[in-house]
Amino acid sequence: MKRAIAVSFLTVFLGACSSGGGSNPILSAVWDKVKPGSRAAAEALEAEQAARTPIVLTFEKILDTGLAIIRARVGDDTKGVLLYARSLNDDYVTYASQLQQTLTLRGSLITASRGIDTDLLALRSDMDDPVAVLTVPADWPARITRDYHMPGDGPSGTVYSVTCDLTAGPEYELALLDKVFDTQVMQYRCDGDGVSFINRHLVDATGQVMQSTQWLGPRQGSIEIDVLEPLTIE
Amino acid sequence: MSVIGRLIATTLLTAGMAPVMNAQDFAASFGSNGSVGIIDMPNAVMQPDGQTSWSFIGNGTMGGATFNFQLLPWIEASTRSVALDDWTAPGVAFGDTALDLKFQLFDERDMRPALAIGFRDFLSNGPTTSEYLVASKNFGSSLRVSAGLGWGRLGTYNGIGEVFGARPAMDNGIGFDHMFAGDAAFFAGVEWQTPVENLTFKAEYSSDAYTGEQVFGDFTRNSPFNFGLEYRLGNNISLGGYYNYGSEFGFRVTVGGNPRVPITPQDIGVGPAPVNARPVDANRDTAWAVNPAVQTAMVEALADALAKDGIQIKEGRIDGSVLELYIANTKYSRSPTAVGRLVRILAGSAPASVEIFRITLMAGALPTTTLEIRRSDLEAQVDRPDAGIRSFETTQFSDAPFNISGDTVWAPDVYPRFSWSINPKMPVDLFSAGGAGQIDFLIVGNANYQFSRSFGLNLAVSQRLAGNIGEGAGPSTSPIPHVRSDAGLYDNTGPVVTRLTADYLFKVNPSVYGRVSAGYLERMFGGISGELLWKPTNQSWGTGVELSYVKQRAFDSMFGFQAYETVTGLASVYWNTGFKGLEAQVDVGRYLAGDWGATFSLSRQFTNGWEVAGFVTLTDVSFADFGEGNFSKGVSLTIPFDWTLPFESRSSITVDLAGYGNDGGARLNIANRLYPVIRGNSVIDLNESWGAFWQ
Repeated sequence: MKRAIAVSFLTVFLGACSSGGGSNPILSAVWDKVKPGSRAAAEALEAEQAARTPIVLTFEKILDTGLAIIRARVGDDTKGVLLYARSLNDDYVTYASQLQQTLTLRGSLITASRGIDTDLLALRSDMDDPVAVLTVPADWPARITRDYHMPGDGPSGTVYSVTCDLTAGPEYELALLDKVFDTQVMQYRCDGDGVSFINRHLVDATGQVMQSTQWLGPRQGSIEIDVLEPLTIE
Repeated sequence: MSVIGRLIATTLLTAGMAPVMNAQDFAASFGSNGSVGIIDMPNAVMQPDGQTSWSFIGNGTMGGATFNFQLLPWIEASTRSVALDDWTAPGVAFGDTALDLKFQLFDERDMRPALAIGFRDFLSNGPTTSEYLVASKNFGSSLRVSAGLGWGRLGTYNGIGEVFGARPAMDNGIGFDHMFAGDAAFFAGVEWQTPVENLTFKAEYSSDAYTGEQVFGDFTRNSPFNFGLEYRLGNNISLGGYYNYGSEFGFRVTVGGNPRVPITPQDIGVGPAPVNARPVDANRDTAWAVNPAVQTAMVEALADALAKDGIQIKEGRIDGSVLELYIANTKYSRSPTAVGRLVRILAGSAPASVEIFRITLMAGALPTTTLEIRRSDLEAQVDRPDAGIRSFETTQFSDAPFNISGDTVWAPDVYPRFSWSINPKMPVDLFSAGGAGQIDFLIVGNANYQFSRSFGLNLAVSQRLAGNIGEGAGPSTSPIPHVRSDAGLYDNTGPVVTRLTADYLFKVNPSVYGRVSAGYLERMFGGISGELLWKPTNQSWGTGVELSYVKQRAFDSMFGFQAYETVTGLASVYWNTGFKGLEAQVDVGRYLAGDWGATFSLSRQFTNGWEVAGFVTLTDVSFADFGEGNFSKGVSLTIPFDWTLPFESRSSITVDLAGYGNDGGARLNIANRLYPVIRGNSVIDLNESWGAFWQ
């Protein structure tokens, strides 16, 4: 038995190497961690990063960039990652991080994600979806429908069609970067095709979604975004 | 909850994220024989689509292994290989291999129970053959009750009489006349999800009298009541323990997985390049394309840039409005991902006048399908919710010629080229050692010296690290030529040359592929082999012929031959059903031992590369001459590495679960048969995985 286990490990680690750079991905990952110098280099990088003065992000600095920017957080991450608008197709704006992970938004509604766990291929929503189209809180529709396209068979992937019912929540003071915004909690509970989830949005008086927790799919769960500087088309 | 609902619930649990979930039903569990069921009795429950498992089973009367696969949401298939103790004489076991099928006629809804019809040892009339009709109903989320009516073996205790006439005597032959014939008997059982997480209690009333087991052995059936416990370790391992017949203990260990539920997070990494439409006033002048040096330099620069992203350009040509590329995808598990990422890069880098991207997917040396994508379509569709379906509709697919036509075609100057690889291999002899099976762990080294894109030399050397396939095999007594049954006589202690061939691959026209191979074609045979395959990419089916003249290789030498020589050839039809990745194949012709017959194969390939395949071969060799198992059959399972890793990889591992050492229905093991090489790039295949185009 011990021999069989040893052989299995050996098979995995020796396996699938090639001259074309197709080295065993497991072996490569392990080697990257343990090869001489890698640990020291990683420690040096950590020390350098720790020594740097942290940059305090403000709305003024964001305006100075002249870019549309959102910030995204997944799971236990508290700092978040900045994503910058990189492409535009009608009202669909794709924001990309430095690592080229992307979120596509219509207004403040996430309609696609790439490189952040399992991709959300696409999201179709109603034309008057208030997260996508600037709508004052009083006018948010009580019920909307959405289709979430996840990776699966066929060009459209696996589609989860959900119906979402609105619950208007209390007012909330949102502290974002160096400013405080008066917002209202707007919540859609969505059900259908065996899934159920809640999207929460903090919306200002003009209908701008300032902060939002949105479902990306059954495997990846939810992501939180701050709309720091929305894209304006002149 | 539907099967899809259960799958989603399972997925949520796997991911460790539970936003707000619907109540989940009582999950399917395995019986003592490795199929979904109560203990020895079946139920009407199905697993999530594609669920695959491997069980080791044993009790006082038998031991063996079962490969179980949820073929479709309503069809469960199991290949079971067991040794029935003391069956033919005291101390003499009977090796029984069987295909079990269960069809869910309808699923559970409200007050209606699920109903299934099933066949154990399908088509055969052997010692474990039985048929049944069973209903299952959940009560709450922790109790399931099943009841049914069984025939054959499941109708041997407390029968209610012959509903459909007398059952013919057991003969191990193939036929239909035994089905639902003979005594029928009722069975029933309960499954209870205990308060202990993942622990299920089971009890059943069995309609199996276990008559055969009590003839020669000391086994005694004291009771029709069986009891069991099942404990699940995570989503992929379950353990079963049983007290059956009032006299025996049994066990089951099951390891499983689902193609649709990867064990690691997927798609983590670098997303595709953003695409912006060309400005309306962009300069679309084509004067730059007049200079051939500029044209080739652009393609060469593109080749360098794309190589870093796992896309190799084998040929390329650009003119004022069209960019054509022959590409080899070495990174992305799904071809549409490679094409999608490529055209995004092209949209951001090609001169504004270039409107058409013509991308051809290579399969080894062979160009397969050309995808013609208009840049303006790409720009209009990107990031929109309907981009998946719209992009497939606007892409034109055609068969690719062997080379790009026209002047100024750029190709990398790489020939002659040497390459090598090392891969693990784990052949499993499912039907040996009295059902216990045998396995080898091999390391296979491959080397290739390619003189041109078409012509090269290939060497494969295999080294066994551990294993026992062939152990205990005596001298073959097969009455037909020993083309496989002498497998145990072949030296396998040191490195073994399993292949040394010169191979020429070509295309007769864009739809017809060709191959000629000569040399040591496989471990046991050498010779010359030729093949032609007609498979238009827009067509769901194709056909091919293969003809080979071969001599049997020597046992104890790497390069010698024995006296046996033969001509073997098969005509084949391939059909991609376009339904849930199912493909069927029929091969008809002359096999290695000179026998004539046909092989029927069915496979299901998932878009992430998982594949489960099975085959049966029936020839004019009689069941008696064939030996144990009656006829050639087997299954194989291919699992891609990226199912287990959080990044893209085209590597995979294939486990063949087949009978070894049978002469009837044996065919050459040729490494580069054309259909397996080019499959995956047809329009149907691309359609199934097209959702990945924008990933």
